[in-house]
Amino acid sequence: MTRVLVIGCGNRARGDDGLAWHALSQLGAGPLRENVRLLLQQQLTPELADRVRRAARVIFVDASAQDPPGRIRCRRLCPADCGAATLTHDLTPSALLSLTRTVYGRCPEAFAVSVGGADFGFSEALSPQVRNSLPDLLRCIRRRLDLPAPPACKNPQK
Amino acid sequence: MGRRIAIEPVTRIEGHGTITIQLDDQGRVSDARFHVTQFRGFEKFCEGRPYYEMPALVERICGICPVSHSLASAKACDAILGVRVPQAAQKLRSMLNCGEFIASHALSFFYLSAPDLLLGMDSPPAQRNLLGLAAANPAVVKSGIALRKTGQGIIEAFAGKRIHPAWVVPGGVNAGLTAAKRDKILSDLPAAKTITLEALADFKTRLAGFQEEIASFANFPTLFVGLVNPEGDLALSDGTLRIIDHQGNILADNVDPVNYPKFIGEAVEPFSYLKSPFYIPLGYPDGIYRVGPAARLNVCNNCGTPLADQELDEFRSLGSGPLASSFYNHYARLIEILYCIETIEALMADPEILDPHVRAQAEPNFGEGLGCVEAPRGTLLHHYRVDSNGLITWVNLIVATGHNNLAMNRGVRQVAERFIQGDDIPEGALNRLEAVIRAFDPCLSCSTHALGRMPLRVRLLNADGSLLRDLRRE
Repeated sequence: MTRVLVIGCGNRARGDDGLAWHALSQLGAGPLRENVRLLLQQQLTPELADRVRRAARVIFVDASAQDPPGRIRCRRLCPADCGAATLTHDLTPSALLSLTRTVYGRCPEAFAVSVGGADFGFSEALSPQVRNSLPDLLRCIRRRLDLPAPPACKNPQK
Repeated sequence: MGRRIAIEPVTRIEGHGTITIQLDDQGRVSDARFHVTQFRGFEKFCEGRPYYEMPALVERICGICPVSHSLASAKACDAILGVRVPQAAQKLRSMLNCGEFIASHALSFFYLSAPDLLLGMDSPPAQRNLLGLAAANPAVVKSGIALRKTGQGIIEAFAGKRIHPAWVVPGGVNAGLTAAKRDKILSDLPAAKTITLEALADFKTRLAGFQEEIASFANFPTLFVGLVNPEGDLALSDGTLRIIDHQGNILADNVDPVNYPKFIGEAVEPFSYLKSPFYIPLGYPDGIYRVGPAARLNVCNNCGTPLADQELDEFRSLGSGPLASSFYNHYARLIEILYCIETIEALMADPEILDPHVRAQAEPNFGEGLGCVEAPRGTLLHHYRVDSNGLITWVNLIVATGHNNLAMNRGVRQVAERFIQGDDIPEGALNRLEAVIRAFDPCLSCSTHALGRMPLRVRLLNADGSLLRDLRRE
């Protein structure tokens, strides 16, 4: 089983939305434990549930359009219904966790690590604020990689 | 005073659209339209690009069926080069297209339409989505995820990545298949076949519960168009066009796709960015026709693979000729998934597929090229002209969703007439207005050349054109 799955989400052709592509490529260039997997996605899709259910911990990395440019946030995620009638083939991290728990009866521990973006225009470069936040972002992700393995979370209804 | 209803945006489809329903003075439906409100513009901004960029450029039209666009584009470029694509490459292209059919049809059936089909058209909208379906029937969602992963895995094995691969090129493909990848693809197929057969068995037991939808989801006579092979059987990647009428009479057969302008005209309407193609001999709008899964099964003699042909026999037993209701597209998608799995199995048994010679090289020899394939949603045409330097001077794209535009509009009206009386629209009626469109699995991003999914807006208008109700789903 992959113990830790890091899912980077975003579009590298849209400026700071490509944050995760830059972060995960730097993360992958350094030493990583054998049971850590990095996955880059333009969006979260339902079929990712099959990958997520195999992990003990999932770390979602994304840019935030809501936070001030360069601000790093890390929060623990719980499965949550999005309740959207439009739900089709892209999901929020919490909805993906919810789908995973509902379909497979288990859900990993999960974190969302984000950086507030400044520029989401057509560019493959990060804004200075986001680029300067990368070292702290990587430290934040690595700390979550090194946390003790959590117990598997089972859905008691399954 | 008449009134008008509008649904905006339409949900669980690819792109943005609006439905407008016009009521007369008695509150009866007098007209209904499906407006496609996004615009892409690929036909224009491809002008000036070198021909060899086109397969990679145009596959950005869509994240669901990029393979179809790259294949049609590469075939148009093959014609510009005047090359004969190596046999191995033709077979690899065919299997890639089959992989996309599996992934796309699985998405349409399990993610987008199964909430309606398994939870019911009148089930609470808050539950009528993938998560609601997962709570009610996790096994079905698990099957859908597995089937879609299989299709995407096939694309990745052949082309290097699941979305927007740059593997199909003018003259062939840019790398051959290895035995290890062949074996990996083959190892995933038995489970995919089991899932598909189980889904088919289950769907057939549910058909009786959808008689109202079968009767009203674009259930009217039209022509049907699709590609067939030299035996008249289902063809997805290479073939000639066959056009039949609603009784199954063949109106045109063995039509080389390069001759499409003799048969297919293109009209535009001021209420939509989507073109309205029509069959020229019958004129506009009488030349209404349909493409896509059910149309293909109506048009072909046989599928040409054993299990799919068994299922086709049962499919056809539902009527005495071509099946007119577009509700049957759901059924046809499952049969086509089965066909694609069997086709890949058969082609994989051919040692030629491991031939490393997979690309023919040439400079442009002709100023014009046409590429035609069946995409998951229907027949796809890419038509290019180039200058003496191989730069694109003109592009015409006729995409499956466009072919179906007239039928989708008439289908919306048929559902509105059946399920709407006055301006009190029950939630189930609203959902059916969306579901008739969903049955076509339209891809508006493909066909209008906007980013985004297709959330629905229904607008209800008075006879004088003033807005009575405006219902939105985001």
